[in-house]
Amino acid sequence: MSDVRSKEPQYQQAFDAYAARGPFSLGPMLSDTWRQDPRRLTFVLARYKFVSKMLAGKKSVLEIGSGDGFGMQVVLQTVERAHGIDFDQAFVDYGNRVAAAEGFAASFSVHDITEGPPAGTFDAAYSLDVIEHVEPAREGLFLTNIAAALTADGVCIIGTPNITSAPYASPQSQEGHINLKSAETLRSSLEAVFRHVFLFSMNDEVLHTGYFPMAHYLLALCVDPRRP
Amino acid sequence: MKDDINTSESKQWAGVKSLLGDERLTLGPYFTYIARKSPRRLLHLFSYYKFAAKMIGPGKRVLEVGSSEGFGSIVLAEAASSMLAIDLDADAIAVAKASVESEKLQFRVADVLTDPLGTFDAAVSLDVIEHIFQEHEDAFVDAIARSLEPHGILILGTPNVNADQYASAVSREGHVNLFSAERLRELGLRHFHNVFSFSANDEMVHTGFSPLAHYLLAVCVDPRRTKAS
Repeated sequence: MSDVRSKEPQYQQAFDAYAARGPFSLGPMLSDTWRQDPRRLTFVLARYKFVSKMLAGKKSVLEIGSGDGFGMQVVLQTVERAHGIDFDQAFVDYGNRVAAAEGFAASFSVHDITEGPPAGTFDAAYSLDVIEHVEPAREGLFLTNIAAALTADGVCIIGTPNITSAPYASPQSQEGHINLKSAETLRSSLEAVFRHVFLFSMNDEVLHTGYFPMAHYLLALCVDPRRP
Repeated sequence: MKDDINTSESKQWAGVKSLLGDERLTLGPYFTYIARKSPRRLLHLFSYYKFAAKMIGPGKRVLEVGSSEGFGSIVLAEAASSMLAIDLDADAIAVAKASVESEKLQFRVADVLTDPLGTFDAAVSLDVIEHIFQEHEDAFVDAIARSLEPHGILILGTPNVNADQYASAVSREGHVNLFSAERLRELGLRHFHNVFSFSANDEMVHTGFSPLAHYLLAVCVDPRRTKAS
């Protein structure tokens, strides 16, 4: 119970929960985002919200390149459980610590998806802002190893900045983006691995299906991994 | 031409005009009614077709179930490799044949429940399911699913039941089976392995809170084909 008394009773619950559980942390990635460019937080989370809407009802979901796991919390609103993989131990440790403390149906492990599929089978997977960091020569491994972790009618969402937005990206973003895609090249990479590719665009937080060269961000909803 | 106001701009425009050709499309009674009564509705309607066309992608064999006079069908046919559009309404199909039929876009009076139609990569049915009695809705979706390739897709569009209170008397007259997003999704999932639910308000397709969606769109992927035919 908080010592603070809200003027209107409907807000007391928030003060009481705050006193009992303390503030919730944005974590290292989004805290940095919030301090440098608060608007970026809203469109980054909008991408996860799209994932949560598309994957609603899925039982077991894999995130590839889960970072500190903050975005996964949005997805956990609509799926039963999620597992995040990342090749960075520091992120994985942070994610597991938060999941345990908050009671999330989430777990994290260190894994490089280009080295092989992770353990387990998932009915859906998603990977946001990762494929543009993958060496072009290893992109095939990245995608086929995701597909290998999915059930026969599994779903995969890949999100990445549009190559046409690169001239406006920050220098540190540009630095890591070694595999940027247009809608066409993203589609052709994904159609090699999945039977269906439904392409969406995002400008700010707004999802749409408009003219791709003017899209800031690309989201591909892929269904049915092709089996080798 | 001789009555045109003669300026350098009008001469420039005449050049543009000469590139357009001199063909005309005539609307039938269904689209004429919409255009006269509420022309903005044409924008909503065409936006649903455009969404379906974007989801299907280029080069696919497309079936439309319930095309009416076919003005929306032309949006689907643009990217399709071939398209068959059917309707129970012979008058509407006659309008479509006279106005927008082409080698690529064929129209036929047919019933998806009983007539053999061939096999398609994708099917679209907009503003039809709400006219199908609830006891027939599963047979309707099942029949469409059976006309698809094993990994085919179906896009269903229908007004949200919550928008019915704002619908015109003419619209309400025909709506015998309105859906919520949940019920549309459940119907889709009975016949397809994956269903992705979208909402539309005005021309904007989105994934927002579905009870306040004006229109519902379900992208259904992978027919289940569990029942014997």
